[in-house]
Amino acid sequence: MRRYVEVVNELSELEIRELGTENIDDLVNICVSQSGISHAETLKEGSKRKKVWIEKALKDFGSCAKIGYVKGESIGFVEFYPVQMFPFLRHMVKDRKIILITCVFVGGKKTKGQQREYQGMGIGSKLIQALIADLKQRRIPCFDDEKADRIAIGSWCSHTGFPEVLPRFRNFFFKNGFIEDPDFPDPTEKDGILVYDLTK
Amino acid sequence: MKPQAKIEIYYFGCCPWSYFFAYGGGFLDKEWTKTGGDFKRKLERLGVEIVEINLFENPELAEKYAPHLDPYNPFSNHVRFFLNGKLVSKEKFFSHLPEHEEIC
Repeated sequence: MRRYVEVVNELSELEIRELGTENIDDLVNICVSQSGISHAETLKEGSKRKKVWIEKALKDFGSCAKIGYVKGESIGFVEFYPVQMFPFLRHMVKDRKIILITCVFVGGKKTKGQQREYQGMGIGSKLIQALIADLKQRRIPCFDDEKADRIAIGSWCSHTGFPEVLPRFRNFFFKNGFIEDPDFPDPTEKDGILVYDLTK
Repeated sequence: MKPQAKIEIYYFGCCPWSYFFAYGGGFLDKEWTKTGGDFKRKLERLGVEIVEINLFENPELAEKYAPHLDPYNPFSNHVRFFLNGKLVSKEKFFSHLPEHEEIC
């Protein structure tokens, strides 16, 4: 498993590990265990189904997430897949070599309000930059062993009851080099798709 | 006579929240979320037939019946409610279920 370590602050070292079969639970449990409702049966069942999906994705695509660890505990992740794995999107992207970010999350214990222990420390950006660096050199089997040329993410937070988060969400990706691209129209005609060009 | 009740649950298999939200959990159903109640089992106990459709495995069904889904959104989900084979609103569906106050 590839790993590297970055100093987040004077107290904590962030270690970023690739997702593999040995740490699937670390990924699946991060957002669920910190939700406060991890006892909900349908959430548990949803987690089991995610695990099945990831096992398949690991076989078909290879590592599909980068997980951040502090003191050995998983505290955040970025999860991504070739867009061809998403049946709805196939006809939109045709033969383009696009990696879709499906989720990015940094958590930890709640501190004040909705803020969490490890948020606001640049960990999310380090995960995204690790993804960009990886994809710039990684050859992808379903792209005929060529490299991806774009990373895309939908501005989905406003669709899910968090419209107030949208500006922060977009600024986070703009800060990490993502842009709005007219070649990527938002099928929902709402908040746009953000894209990173890996070829530049 | 008790109507034949069926629910179709459309969810993204890559996200536990898609499945959770599809079953009515989340911020619109705070009491249920707080208790962690098993909404699916309650529906089954009420005799509701449940059909779960993973959007990755059945894109043609999703495109046909859930066209408003956001394909970029891993939380996306959709539910269709049927009484005696006829598509009905959520409100009408639950109003025809006994003990529905418990779960909706």
